[in-house]
Amino acid sequence: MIGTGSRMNRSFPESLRGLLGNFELIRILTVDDLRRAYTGSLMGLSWILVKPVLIVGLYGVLFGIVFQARGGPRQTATEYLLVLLAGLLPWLSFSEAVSTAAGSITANTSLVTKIVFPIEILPVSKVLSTMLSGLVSLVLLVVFLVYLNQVGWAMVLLPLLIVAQLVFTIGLAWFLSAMNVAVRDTSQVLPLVLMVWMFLSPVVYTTEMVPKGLAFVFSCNPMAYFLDGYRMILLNNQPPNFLIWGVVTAMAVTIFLTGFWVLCRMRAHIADFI
Amino acid sequence: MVAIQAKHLCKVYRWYARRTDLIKEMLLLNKKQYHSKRVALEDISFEVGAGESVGVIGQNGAGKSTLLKLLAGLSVPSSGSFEVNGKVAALLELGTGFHPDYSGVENIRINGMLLGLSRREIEQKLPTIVEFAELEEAIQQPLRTYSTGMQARLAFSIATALQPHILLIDEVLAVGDAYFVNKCIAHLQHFINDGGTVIVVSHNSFLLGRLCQKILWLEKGKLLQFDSAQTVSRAYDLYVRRLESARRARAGLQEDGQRWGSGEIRVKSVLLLNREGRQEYAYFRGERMVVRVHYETDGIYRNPSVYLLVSSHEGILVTSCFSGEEPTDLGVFQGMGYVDVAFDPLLIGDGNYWLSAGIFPHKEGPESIYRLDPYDYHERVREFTVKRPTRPLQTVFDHPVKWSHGCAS
Repeated sequence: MIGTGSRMNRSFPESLRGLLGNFELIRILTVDDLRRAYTGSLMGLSWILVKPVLIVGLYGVLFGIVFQARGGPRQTATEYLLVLLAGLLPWLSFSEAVSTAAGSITANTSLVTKIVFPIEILPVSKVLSTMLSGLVSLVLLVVFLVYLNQVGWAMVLLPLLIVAQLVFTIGLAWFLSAMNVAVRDTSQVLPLVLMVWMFLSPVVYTTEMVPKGLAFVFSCNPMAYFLDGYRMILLNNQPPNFLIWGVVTAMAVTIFLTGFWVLCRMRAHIADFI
Repeated sequence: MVAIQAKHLCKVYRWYARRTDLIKEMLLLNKKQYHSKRVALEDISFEVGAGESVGVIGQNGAGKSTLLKLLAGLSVPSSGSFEVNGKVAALLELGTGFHPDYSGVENIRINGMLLGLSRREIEQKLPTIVEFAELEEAIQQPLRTYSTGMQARLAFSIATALQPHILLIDEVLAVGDAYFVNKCIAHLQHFINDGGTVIVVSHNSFLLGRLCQKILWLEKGKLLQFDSAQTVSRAYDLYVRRLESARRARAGLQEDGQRWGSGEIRVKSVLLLNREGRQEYAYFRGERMVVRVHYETDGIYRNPSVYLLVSSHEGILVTSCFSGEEPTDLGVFQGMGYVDVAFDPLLIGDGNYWLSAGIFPHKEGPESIYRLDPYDYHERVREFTVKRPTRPLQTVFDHPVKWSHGCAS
């Protein structure tokens, strides 16, 4: 190694390639994250299910039974529940991943300041481990749909959408975890922002239920496209249209690269500042 | 071959009044600066050859750790440059990334990966790591059951398993027990003999003298001296002693000790003087130390007794002297004056000591001072330090001995 420091002076494309080289480390840290979350607790892995079941139950009762929310006049409560699940589960895994990954660098101060370590993989492994937990509930939803005999061939597109969401989330996590070093309020404000974001996204309702006048708000919200995509694949057995794929891919790539760029720019200073 | 070459290294930490200023500076592409500067290292140039061992010494905040972080690539220099030839491993903290609930083996696996080993390398080196750490029995137990020393051993073993060309170590050997520290030193010496380069940061000039060929002395971010270990460690010890001494001289009479007595003769001040007759409050063992007790009195007193007591900070009474027990006549005390008590040579060992001083009435016969009421007794009136020039053993006392050698046959 010749030069001034191993991890600081790499160019942006070099760092991006370095990310692939750290695949093994990312895997180890992700598994480690999952183990830390679930070993030593009494219920172990079943915690992965408890939270989504509880939240889905609450929203189901609140919106499906109390508010009598329906997608249309002829929609049954079960149908609404499915609509709710298809939106809520992807959203939960997104918001959970973003909010835990935002603190992933500040929570590992010693890794940042004491050993030569590629810090960009900390948010990645955090996003992966939370999204993996989220995936479990999504798989259960698919199983439920199979049971209801509502699954179609469009399902093969589901992994593509999940990968796009993963890429999008990682980009956001990079940006936020770097921000959180400089402004610790980030992790405080984030849950509030996510809550507002959730109600501005078609999570407990669908895009069709949105009044025409407000539609432009949703066209600016990348998560709306993701959630629409999930509903189309899961409930309508329909491949998402080109608009959805276009926006989703563009957002994923843009946010991924921007987030990484921000982290790379701040990386040299994070160790001094954390 | 040169292992490390630093040219005019500077590190200036940026101080941001508000955290948002950092973001502004990072993300806005304009060149406006939002910070004030704190200099941690200033114009440091040096060269370390392959196979050399160099110690870095200095007071707290001298920039030792900053220098190591720069060399390890954890932080970027503000200006200047350095070149490092070879694989670097840095041991800046023991047990970074350890998880208390995982077993020793699992921690080795994860820690090894964090430090940049591949999975295969770790499996290959696992037995060596466990063996060097001497943790064969505990290795399957969770880490939280380990003592600090055991964790230190494990961390050091993992770091050395990286097989770097250059090893940077920051004050981490202070944790282990003497046995393990010795083992580490022996290991490092092997490493150096095999052509490895070591840079060790420590406050302990003795340890550095043992381990290193050369020492780099930093003071307030500047390079003061870079020379042979012996030269620098001696100079550094002297410097620390001076600082200590200056602090003690400034401190004046201590207020926290008790003071009592009838007051006919009063202890006015107590000074410690060195060979040159200047005030000095830190001594090397074997030097001359004179305790000067200034008194003042309104009357005339014939041969009163002066008493000195040296006690260690741990409360051990180390030595005392009482002029009343000796056939000494101090003469007449009148007005103001002083009594000199010479400790020559000073025989007490390494440590920090309190000096208590008192003046007692003259009494004929073998009278214990505890049965006397003092004119003035001032407890813990001065503090001083004794340092051994060689072995830093905490002995209370270095007994003078005579050596001889005989033939048994």
